[in-house]
Amino acid sequence: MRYSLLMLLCISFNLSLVAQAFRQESASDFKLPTQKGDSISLSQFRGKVVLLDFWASWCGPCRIANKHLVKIYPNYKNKNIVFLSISLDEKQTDWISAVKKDKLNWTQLIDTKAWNSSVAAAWDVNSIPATFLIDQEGNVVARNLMGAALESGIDKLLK
Amino acid sequence: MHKSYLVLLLLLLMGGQQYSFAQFSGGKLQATGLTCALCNKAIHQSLEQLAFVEKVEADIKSSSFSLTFRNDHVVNPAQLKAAIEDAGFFVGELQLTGTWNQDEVERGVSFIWGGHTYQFISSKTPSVAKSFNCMVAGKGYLTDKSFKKLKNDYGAYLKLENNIIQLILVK
Repeated sequence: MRYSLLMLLCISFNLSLVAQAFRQESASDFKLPTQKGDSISLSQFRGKVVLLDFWASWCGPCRIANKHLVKIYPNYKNKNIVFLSISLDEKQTDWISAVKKDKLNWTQLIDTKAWNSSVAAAWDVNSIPATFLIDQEGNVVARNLMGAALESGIDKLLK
Repeated sequence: MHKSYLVLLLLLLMGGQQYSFAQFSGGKLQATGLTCALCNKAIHQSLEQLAFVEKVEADIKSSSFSLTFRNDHVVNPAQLKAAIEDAGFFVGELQLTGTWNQDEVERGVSFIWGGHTYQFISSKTPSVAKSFNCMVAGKGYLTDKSFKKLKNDYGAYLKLENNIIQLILVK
């Protein structure tokens, strides 16, 4: 009896730790190249809201999600938010032609290591599309918001 | 003395009989499931972990994985199937590209590779360079729908034996 109580106490203590860690999850920084070869890091956008999107040219659902991002981008272009897309394409050419085709006019980064990408691993991305919202202080506040929920999530942070 | 008998036997075996033999260099694997299989890390990783798999590429046009096999390894379709299922998906279709040492593929002809017996259940003259594309016809390698269709098309030829991997030539 006493033992099980102790166990319970341990478990609840652990749970509260996990919950706390999640609430205060700070965004893991990365440095990745753009199409032109410039290297961009997440930390340079501190002070701005960041919409981070992992995708790839060969990912059907990502291409559909791109359409939504393209649609909402003009509304946020001049606000305190940056859109940042990371492609997990292995081939630069596939990536560049998909960016052109989908008309993605914001910062485009690539990690050609694809699923072996350490950035994707650090962000615990196990399937794409994977979208994250990062607040002005660099905390991850939401994951995989889609459609209208994404827009209201952004609006909340921009207030 | 014993050695020379062995050599003679080998020569006889090699010359006296034309062996049917094929090996696979690559394939196309379509996986089905509740979510996008191409967009999933686990499936990529479990395919890449197979010793005979050299490269896994997602092909959006055919919504399948393009596989390249190592030429010094034996390809095992059952392991491909297990890799997909371990990741929580199913094989929708598995096509293999191979080379064949004969001029024609006749229905019923079989070959052994890496301890597996393969059997063709369709006939066709392979294209140039004796290369061919085939589809693995067996439960677990197809959707239920296409399996039913094959049963209609091939009837008695389609057997459900685990120790034989049946192949149907495709374009």
